[in-house]
Amino acid sequence: MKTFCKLNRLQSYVLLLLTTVGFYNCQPLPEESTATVSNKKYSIEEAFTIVSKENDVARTLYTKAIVGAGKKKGLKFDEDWEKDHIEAGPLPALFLRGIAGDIRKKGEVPLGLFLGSDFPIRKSNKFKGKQAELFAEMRKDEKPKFFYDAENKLYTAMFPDFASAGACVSCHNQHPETTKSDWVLGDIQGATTWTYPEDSVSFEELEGIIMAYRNGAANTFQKYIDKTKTFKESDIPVVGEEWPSGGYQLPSPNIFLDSVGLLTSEETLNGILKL
Amino acid sequence: MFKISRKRKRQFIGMCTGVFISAITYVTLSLPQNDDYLSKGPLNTGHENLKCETCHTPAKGNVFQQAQANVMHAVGLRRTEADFGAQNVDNKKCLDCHDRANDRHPLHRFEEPRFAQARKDLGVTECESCHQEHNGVRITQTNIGYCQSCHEDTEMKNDPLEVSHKELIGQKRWNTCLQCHDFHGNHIFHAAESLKDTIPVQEIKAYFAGGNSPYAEEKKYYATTEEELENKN
Ligand code: HEC
Ligand code: HEC
Ligand code: HEC
Ligand code: HEC
Ligand code: HEC
Ligand code: HEC
Repeated sequence: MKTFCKLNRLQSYVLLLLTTVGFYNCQPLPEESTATVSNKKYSIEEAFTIVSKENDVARTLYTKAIVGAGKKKGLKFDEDWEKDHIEAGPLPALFLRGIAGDIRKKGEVPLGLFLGSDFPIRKSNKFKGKQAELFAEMRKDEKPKFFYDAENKLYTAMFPDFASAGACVSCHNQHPETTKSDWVLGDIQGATTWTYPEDSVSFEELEGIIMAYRNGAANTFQKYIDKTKTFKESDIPVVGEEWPSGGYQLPSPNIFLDSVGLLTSEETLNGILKL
Repeated sequence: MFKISRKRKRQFIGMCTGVFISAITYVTLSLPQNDDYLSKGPLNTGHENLKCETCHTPAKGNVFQQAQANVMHAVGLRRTEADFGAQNVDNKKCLDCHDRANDRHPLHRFEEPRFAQARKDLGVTECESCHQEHNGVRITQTNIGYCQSCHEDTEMKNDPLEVSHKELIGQKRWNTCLQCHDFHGNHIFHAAESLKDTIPVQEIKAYFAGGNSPYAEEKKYYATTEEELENKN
């Protein structure tokens, strides 16, 4: 009897030990994304709308103040700007693609960004399937389109890309590979497509999306400036506070981004505050 | 105290033995010197000397936590699945060493909805779809004419070719593409303009299997070595 009790005590010690070890080992593994369903304040439509506004402003500013004004002062812009022998900066479409690539490369924010059209310069930018259908609707009502891409498991939005600067029209109309040469100012020249894996985001996630876009823009602009430092045939533009309208020069990425911030601040803030 | 029948006792001993053997197996197979037992097959071209852990980095948490997390995911109490044992070897891992800023086919571009068919045909958003690891070769994609999935509409207004791209594509001569172009655009060379000067298909197949590059010796970007990667982290 005595031995039996002893054994039992031993057993319970072992049991206790096992339970402790068990509990210790089974602490829940934290989820990568910390947001729980309850603090998802923004629908993905709202988030897309805010970041696409930032994109509109950054692109227009880049097209007018850098490409448009810069060309008059001797700066060059080319679709092959990344190739070694070409001494030029990125076209607006490639500036956007640079931002998209930077967001994906960092990989912290699962935001996708693309540019296409029904009459593209580049054949591979032509919409197909669902995107073509929705873009045809957009041509009529000029409204953004939202859908869930079930195959891709991504919430997807398309926003019209308006010819907002004279340079958009003239460059597309004159391009040797263009599929349409009668664009006019204000036309919908194409659409940006945005993707995200969730139907709603928390404040932190929204902030992440906006910052991923802005960092992408700053990094792409920095890449352009780095490229100018390698120019051999052309002069290297001065980089500082000044914009190309005043001469053969470029603003620093911070100055460029501050201007984007200034131009979007009210709308972005209104979007965040849901005004 | 509770009384244990002999049958129960035998079951209990049996279970303990099972758990013990599994634990031993798990621990033994985790030892680095037993890598080969676990290995799926010879590493691909250029990876022969890489350590397993360089690609198979351990997943977060311990085995129990990973198991628990996945059970919770299965019953809907958790939003994301957890990696079990080792992290998935994903594109990000490959790009840690193979980041090529000039890649003319950066895979993230193909996440756009309109590439749905190409994703279905080729799984073109994953390195793995064309470079499945543990096969002892460079490229596992066997159809060298896979460009068809995306380039049916390719044409050039001032096409420099003797037989234009439009004609080549019209005649479905998809095997010719890789005879003039590499895929990632990382080799430094000029594409031929005449079909007479193209690279024979045989040489491309040999390159896929692990032979030397028929495009050029020189590249714009070279792979990061294991040592460089360790120093970076
Ligand atoms: C200096 C020339 C130039 C300017 C200015 C320009 N673009 Fe483009 N754009 C191009 C080229 C070239 C492409 C094709 C780039 C590629 O995909 O390789 C392109 C691509 C596009 C596309 C994708 C579809 C297509 O045509 O391939 C859209 C949409 C677009 N641009 C809209 C605009 C808008 C809107 C503006 C003004 C804010 C603008 N572009 C300014 C040259 C220009
Ligand atoms: C270049 C990177 C790389 C290296 C080095 C590497 N592997 Fe792998 N391994 C992979 C990839 C990719 C897979 C596919 C499954 C995945 O995505 O995890 C894989 C799959 C496996 C699998 C199957 C597991 C599964 O989840 O399907 C085993 C087992 C394995 N590797 C063992 C090893 C061993 C042992 C070594 C060392 C000799 C090694 N690997 C080295 C990339 C690598
Ligand atoms: C530790 C860094 C590292 C990682 C991670 C890695 N590789 Fe490599 N890879 C190398 C090195 C080094 C070579 C050899 C390069 C050489 O011979 O010039 C190589 C060679 C290759 C080659 C043949 C290259 C050639 O020169 O023809 C391919 C294809 C390749 N890797 C694909 C992958 C894929 C796909 C993954 C992800 C599963 C991956 N690599 C992960 C370092 C890495
Ligand atoms: C759709 C098929 C496909 C996919 C997806 C793909 N590759 Fe390749 N890869 C090829 C082919 C074909 C070649 C041979 C032609 C060439 O050298 O570009 C190649 C060659 C390579 C080479 C050797 C040439 C060089 O660029 O240095 C490396 C390294 C490589 N791939 C890495 C990767 C990595 C990393 C990924 C994922 C980010 C990837 N590949 C995705 C088809 C693919
Ligand atoms: C998943 C879709 C897809 C596949 C598969 C694909 N491509 Fe492409 N390719 C594209 C896109 C998108 C572009 C970029 C737009 C452009 O420049 O036309 C492109 C561009 C190119 C370019 C021009 C790059 C430049 O810098 O001007 C070449 C050359 C090319 N691809 C060759 C090939 C070859 C060869 C294959 C097959 C081995 C292939 N592609 C397979 C989608 C694809
Ligand atoms: C006889 C060699 C040859 C063959 C075969 C060939 N190409 Fe080309 N390709 C070229 C040359 C030369 C260029 C123009 C210079 C360059 O971009 O390298 C070019 C350019 C391209 C471009 C860029 C187009 C643009 O608008 O800038 C794409 C895309 C392309 N080829 C895809 C393909 C595809 C897909 C195939 C297979 C059907 C193919 N090529 C077959 C030699 C060839």
